[in-house]
Amino acid sequence: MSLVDVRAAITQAHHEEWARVVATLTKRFGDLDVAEEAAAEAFATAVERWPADGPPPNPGAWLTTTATRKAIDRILRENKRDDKQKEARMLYDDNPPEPVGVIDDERLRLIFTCCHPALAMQARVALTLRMVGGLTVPEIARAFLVQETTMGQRITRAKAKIKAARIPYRVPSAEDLPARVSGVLAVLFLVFNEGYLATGPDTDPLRHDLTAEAIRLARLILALMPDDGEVAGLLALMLLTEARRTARISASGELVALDEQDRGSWDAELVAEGHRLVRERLAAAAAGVAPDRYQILAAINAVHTSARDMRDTDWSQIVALYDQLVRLDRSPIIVLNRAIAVAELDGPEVALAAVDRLDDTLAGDHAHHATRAALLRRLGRSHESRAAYDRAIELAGNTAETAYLTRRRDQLVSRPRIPVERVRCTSWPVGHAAWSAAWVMMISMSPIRAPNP
Amino acid sequence: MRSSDGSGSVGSRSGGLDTATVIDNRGEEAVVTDGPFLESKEYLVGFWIIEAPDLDVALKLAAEGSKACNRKIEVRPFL
Repeated sequence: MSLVDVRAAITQAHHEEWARVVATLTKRFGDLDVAEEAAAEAFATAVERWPADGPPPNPGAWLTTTATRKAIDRILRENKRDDKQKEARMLYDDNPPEPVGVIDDERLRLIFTCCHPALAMQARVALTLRMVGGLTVPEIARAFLVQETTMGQRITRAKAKIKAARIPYRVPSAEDLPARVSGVLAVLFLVFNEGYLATGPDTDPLRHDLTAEAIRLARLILALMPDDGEVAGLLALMLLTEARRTARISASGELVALDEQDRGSWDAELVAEGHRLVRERLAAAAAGVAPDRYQILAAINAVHTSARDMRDTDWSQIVALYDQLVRLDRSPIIVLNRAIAVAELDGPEVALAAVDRLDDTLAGDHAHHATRAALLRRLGRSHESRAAYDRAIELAGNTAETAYLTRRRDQLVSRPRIPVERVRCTSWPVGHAAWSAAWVMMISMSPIRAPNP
Repeated sequence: MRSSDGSGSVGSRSGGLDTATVIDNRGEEAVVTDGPFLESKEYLVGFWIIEAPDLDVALKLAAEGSKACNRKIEVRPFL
């Protein structure tokens, strides 16, 4: 086997087996730290040995056995030092997990523990990417633009809290499950969103590494909980969004809005997979299972990915879906997005009224100002539109978005503001009639001289 | 104040700030957040010592307590 093949085998094993190895060892040794370190050592051993010996026939079993040996070595070593240390590091589990669906998997325990609500959101994200996703600490630090030491401490503190506060290592009871699943999905959605539109100016505007990782984890969770509609909904939402990825950025690194995207370059395979999931959820909804937010968001995206262009888009369907979403969650961001769909259905004036009502809550949000700017442009209120673009550019962090907003602002037809006295003395042509006569009056912006007496 | 076995004060026997979890069940849904009370204006008006096998069970009891006395509750392990 060539070296390239061996490397591919190790990468594949890392993707497929990392979470399982960590989860199995956590269950056996009752300690996330031991499990994480032993898993990392087992993969390091694979990198050393597989090129010479060839990958084993069952990589998962090989890695689990190797990691278990490493963990036992470490515990024996530390036992000699201090027996109490071992006692202190038991995690408190041991109620048998309630069965969830057909597959019960150690990895589910790991996911629910990493996404426990008693941990800070940042800690949940970091811990999930490390323990379930198998990303290294430097990789996670780079993804969220923090120092490696900071990220390392964040993960260490999270593990320490799990141990000290006795966060249980188990799948939550059936009664708590819906709330806890939505907590897990929130973590994945956050990872995906950071990749979908990175917040910082110092990074690539779209982060394929993060969107791909979020999709991989969502697929894993769907395989573990195939009956959960929201997991399927979130995966569909991610797939339909990811399908548009290459169309969303121009060659010059500028964000391409939906109406200007080359729909032929959307990834047909991802669209098909997303549509299949959405259809399954629609069938479930027809059978009386009320869809929650991710399923509705996925359905909205499916309407877009089914349309040939903006005009072909079923906007009344989209507004109806947003209405459904607003009933579940009245967050101003959802109301804002609904208004954008309303603009296509009922015109920009109706939409602008809705957007202006959000002024108080979304004053610091660039999307709010960008939406106002676009609506004002369509209403021909260039001056106000420009001011709104200025504010949006000021607040946006993403480079592709800033580039897009700047271009749109600079395209605004600027009718120079002429001081009143100047207009009087030059008799500015009013209306289109004057313009159609094939001459244009160039008005200089230079200071006005006093009219001749 | 002494703990039940008289071996130390309650303050010295609760876990550190890093182990705290806050539960607020005054509204429609119980909201769990990490960390101790942030606002210094929030005074401690009393405490319970409970037995529970793990944090999930403790948080469930704390949620009931929060609802019953209409207060936020901070949960820390009793060492």
